[in-house]
Amino acid sequence: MKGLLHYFLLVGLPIAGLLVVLHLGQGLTPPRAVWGTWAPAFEGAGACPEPLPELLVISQSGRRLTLNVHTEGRRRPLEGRIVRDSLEADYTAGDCPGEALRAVAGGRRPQDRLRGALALTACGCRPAAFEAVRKPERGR
Amino acid sequence: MEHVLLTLLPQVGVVLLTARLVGLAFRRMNQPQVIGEMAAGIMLGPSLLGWLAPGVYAALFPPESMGYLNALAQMGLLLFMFLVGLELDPEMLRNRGRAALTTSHASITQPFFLGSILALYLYTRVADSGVEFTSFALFMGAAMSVTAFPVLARILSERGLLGTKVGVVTVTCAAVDDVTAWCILAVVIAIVRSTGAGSVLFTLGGTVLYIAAMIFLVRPLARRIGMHYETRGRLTQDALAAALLLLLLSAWTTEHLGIHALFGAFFIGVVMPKGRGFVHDLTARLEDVTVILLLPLFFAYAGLRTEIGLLNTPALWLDCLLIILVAVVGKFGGSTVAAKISGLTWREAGALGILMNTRGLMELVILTIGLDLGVISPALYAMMVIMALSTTFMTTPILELIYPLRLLRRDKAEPEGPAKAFRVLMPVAMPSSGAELLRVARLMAPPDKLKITALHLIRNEQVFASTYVDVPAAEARVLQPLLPLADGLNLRPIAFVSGDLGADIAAVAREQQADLVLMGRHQPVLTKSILGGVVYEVLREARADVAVYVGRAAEPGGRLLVPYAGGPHDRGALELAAMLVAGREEARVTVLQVVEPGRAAETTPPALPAGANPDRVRVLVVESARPVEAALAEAAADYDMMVVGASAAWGFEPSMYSTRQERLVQQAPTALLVVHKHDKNAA
Repeated sequence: MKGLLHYFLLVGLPIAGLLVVLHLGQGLTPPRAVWGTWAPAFEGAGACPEPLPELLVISQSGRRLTLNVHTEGRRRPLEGRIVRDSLEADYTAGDCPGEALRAVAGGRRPQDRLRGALALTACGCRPAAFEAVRKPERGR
Repeated sequence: MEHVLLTLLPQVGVVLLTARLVGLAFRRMNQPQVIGEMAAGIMLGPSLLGWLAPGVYAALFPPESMGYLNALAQMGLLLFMFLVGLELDPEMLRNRGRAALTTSHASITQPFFLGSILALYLYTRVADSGVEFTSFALFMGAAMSVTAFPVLARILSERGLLGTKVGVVTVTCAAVDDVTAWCILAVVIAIVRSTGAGSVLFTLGGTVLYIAAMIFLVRPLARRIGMHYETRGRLTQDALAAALLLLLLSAWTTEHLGIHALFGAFFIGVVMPKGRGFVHDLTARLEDVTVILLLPLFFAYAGLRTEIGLLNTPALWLDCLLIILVAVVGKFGGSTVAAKISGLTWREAGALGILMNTRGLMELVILTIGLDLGVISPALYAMMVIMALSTTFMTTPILELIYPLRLLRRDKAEPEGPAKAFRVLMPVAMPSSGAELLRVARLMAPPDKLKITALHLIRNEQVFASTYVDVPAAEARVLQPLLPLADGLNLRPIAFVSGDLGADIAAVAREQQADLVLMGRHQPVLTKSILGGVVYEVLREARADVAVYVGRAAEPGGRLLVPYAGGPHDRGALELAAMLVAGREEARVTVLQVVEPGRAAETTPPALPAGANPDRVRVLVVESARPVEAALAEAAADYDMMVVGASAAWGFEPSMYSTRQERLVQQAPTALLVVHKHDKNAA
């Protein structure tokens, strides 16, 4: 009898607790997953003469983002965050700090499409609209 | 293809070299080598190499080569999981008693439950939006409850815990945990991969059919491979090919069913025949390539995907600490409490708990699957990898705190034998050398005053399954043949896995308070001296006299020659010689004193050891400027054994790496017993 009681306390209760947890977690929402390598297609150059980026590489830690814009072998970093479905990132260096990228993640889960606008450089440039698709992770 | 090899071969080389070096460094720190190899993988990834030398990193691991590296790594994992399954004997799970049943179930459910609670917190912070909460929580639970069975079994072997109550219960719990964790993981994978009710039904029905086929069709087939092995007495290439084909077929089936190829590799290993010889031979054939070459590639591949840089805020590091805390509390705490309630002492329960907390490589495998499936995000993957490394790394030191080797050996020791028994520790490498040493040892004291421990150490070169399986087999092969020869003697056989033979022999000698360590001649790699290598370590660390026997006849005869120059080792040789003749009426000792020419008259004979019979001892004084030649000349007369002190006078200079072989060893026409007296006043 004592053995059965111990078994219930040590094994049965945690299983019951697990069922409760699974129920409680149903209403939770995780951050949008935008990490990985994205290939953007620009709809216009935003009135800037400089070349268009070929890749956007995003590292994601929860809702925090580090975004690297790759253009002709050069890399420019942005720091950002996820707010609901949107991605907001700013250049961390340069003459014109401020808003630099706004995008919305969409598509099937995990999100495989980004639609937004990216300021290519400085203050004078109008943000260029783009749509990016996620590239498969290397080795997968 | 040529281009691929130009990239892949240096990759494999760098991975192999780094894994070996870091693994050896960890072994030096008394940690399982596999933790070092896991750490090496992370060092080669973006977290260290990519951070310190991004150019080198990019050149060494270009993205286009990752597919090939991954393929090799996955093959390594398939073989590894097959070996883990092979090692797991379902019989272990039966009839292990209430303690094992409650403890094993509690050691899964408690960390599982805590892992799922943690999932409530982490899901909104670092989960990947591609995963439903149910899958995420079940995955976190499974990841928290897994135990690294192979690493755990090896730690148990190394500490000689396998045959103890703690060892038996721990192995059972770990086996149950592994099977359960993999089954739960299969369910999670099936849920994540399912695209609708049809695919769920396909996976569910297919899995039931698969398991039935494995039990009722494949197991009898595998048994035939085992019978083929029994009749041939060895594992033929055909039998090995058949086993590998079954492995591939099983892995392909489970991958096709949607529950991952690794599950199939594990399961086919479980249903393979469990004959000790078969398992041992099959493991031996596959283990080296798997462990030395392919698994480090998996570690590297896992390391390349571990971005510790993603933990870029204090809050994320706190989350990581929280994960480690929950993992330890759930597994260590849960298992300890369950084991205590089930009847183990606090010390035993604590040892079990910390051993169960070892996650090691199995955790890394599960995490990699989770990352591949998108159940966990890269940031959470990095945190969980840190947790896997931390919980494995903490095992050995905490185990030493909870259940020190000193106490373990004391607890395992037999009740004290007769008072003033002469204790001989006899390290045995091969059955033949063991018998030879035993014949010498039994002459040292009457059977009721002699206590002999035969110690067989298994070199710790293999990391996984066979280290566990090997111990009883090796003990049976090397030490069991001694038992019939030990008629009437108090002989105790011990075998365990050792990473450092010299240090472990010395440790056992100290723990057992041996009076003498009697060793056979061995052939060290780096030294030619009979007192070099392992022997040198033993005579430095054992705190006991050490004697090395070089046999030249089937039986040690009764005519003993003791060259004597007067140092402590010569006195030790004389004492031992007196003991060797004490019980034999016909045996005699000749003490050979070699003095400078013209000084024979001044020489005083050595004092005889206490209890020595003067009638059996003859002192012979010889004048010679070359004592070694004089001893060799006298030995050629009519002696059976020379008992000589390990002193410079006779050409012995104990040294770790001496490249000179002693002349007495080379040229003595008799058996030789070289005695090194322990200096009790030395620190």
